Amino acid sequence: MSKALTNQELHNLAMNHVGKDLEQRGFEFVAINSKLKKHPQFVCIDKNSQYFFVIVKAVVLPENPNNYDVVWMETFKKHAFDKDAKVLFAGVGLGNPKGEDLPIYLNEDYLIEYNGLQVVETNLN
Amino acid sequence: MKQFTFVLLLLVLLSCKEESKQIEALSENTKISGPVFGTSFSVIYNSEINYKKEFDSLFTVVNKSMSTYIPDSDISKLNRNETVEMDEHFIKVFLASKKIYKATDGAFDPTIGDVVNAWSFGADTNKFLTDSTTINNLMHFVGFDRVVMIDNNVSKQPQTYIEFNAIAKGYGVDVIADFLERNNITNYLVEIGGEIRASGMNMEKETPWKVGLDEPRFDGEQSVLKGISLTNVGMATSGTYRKFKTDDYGNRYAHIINTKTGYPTKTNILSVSVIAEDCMTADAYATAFQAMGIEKVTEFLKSHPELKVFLVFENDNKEFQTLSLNYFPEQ
Repeated sequence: MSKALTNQELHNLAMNHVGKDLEQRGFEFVAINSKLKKHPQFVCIDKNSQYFFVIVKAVVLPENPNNYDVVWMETFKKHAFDKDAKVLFAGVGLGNPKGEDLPIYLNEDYLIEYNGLQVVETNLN
Repeated sequence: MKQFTFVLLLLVLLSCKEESKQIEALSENTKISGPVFGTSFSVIYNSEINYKKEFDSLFTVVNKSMSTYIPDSDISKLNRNETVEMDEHFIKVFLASKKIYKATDGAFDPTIGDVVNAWSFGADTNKFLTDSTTINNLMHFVGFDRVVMIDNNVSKQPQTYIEFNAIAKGYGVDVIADFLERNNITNYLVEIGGEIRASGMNMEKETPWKVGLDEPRFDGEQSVLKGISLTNVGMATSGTYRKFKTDDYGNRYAHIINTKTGYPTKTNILSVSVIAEDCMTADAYATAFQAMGIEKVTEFLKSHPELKVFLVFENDNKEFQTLSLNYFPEQ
């Protein structure tokens, strides 16, 4: 019996992928927020003691994972600017290989589209 | 026409009186002081409202979050590995500490506390001067890079002991200063145990805020080395001359522990004063600089123009010498 992943579980799956990418790129984790809608998902620091707020967004394919809510992002950018942090966006698309309208099941294969970390310029509006 | 002039004059007189009354009211400062964090605090600000109660409750909140001297504080629970959700104060200090830990390459490290306790300089006074095995064992659990916050909980090794005592006093100063600013008070001087934040000027005397830097003395007495004017900054001083231990051979041990070795520093720096944007930052860097030594500090400050530093050290002839870096104010 297949069990479909909840939105929270999809979010955590996306975070796992992004977390590994961040780690490989030499970022150090300072804080992690795993609960859905609790932003940012990762607070990281690099070797120059620069803070990065990483926003992870999971979407179900064929929705485009590279897009984010620009209006919401404006308020978040302001928050990051106040804290002297840079903003990275990581969109993750997840899907069921057997069909677009099927959910993603626990412990079964899934499709992933992840195009890496996008730098969100905090100084531009 | 004459009557008109008279009325005008009267009006001018009246308005003059009104104005001078206003200035008089504003030129008086409120001064509040008392005990806090095992030392004392003093706040001077340009307003008639007495905020003693508010200050006390702010101190209680900070203590409840970060005091290792209070058994049921959040940080004490954390160090006993009990589950506890950290509050905004803890998170702010945690994030600032990470940044300074990283910038100073670990010279400032909130996980060094157990080693400090082993040398009996810190909160737990029951332990005393120690042996190398104890220190080596404790050093396995030192390293703030291995401590991460996950969903507002702190994830750490069970044996790792965290304390923010080298930054919390400065943070307490910022909490009071931020409170005053939220209440539209822009002329104030906040001080806790020598850590300071100053804003605007002393309206009562119509002068900038003047603070004195202690002369390093080993006899426990206090005297002022030099006075400086401060505005819109935080300043903190870390001095080994106030808190040190002497072993049987007369070696002086500072209460600053080298975070790499676990041993007290044998630095010739007697005191470091740091001026920064806020007092928390100044406090943490003052501790780190004490451990780093003169050469490393001089090099570090080339890429950190936002920090101004004044060092007092003992030179090769066993004399006091001073060094100002990044335009630390002369007076």
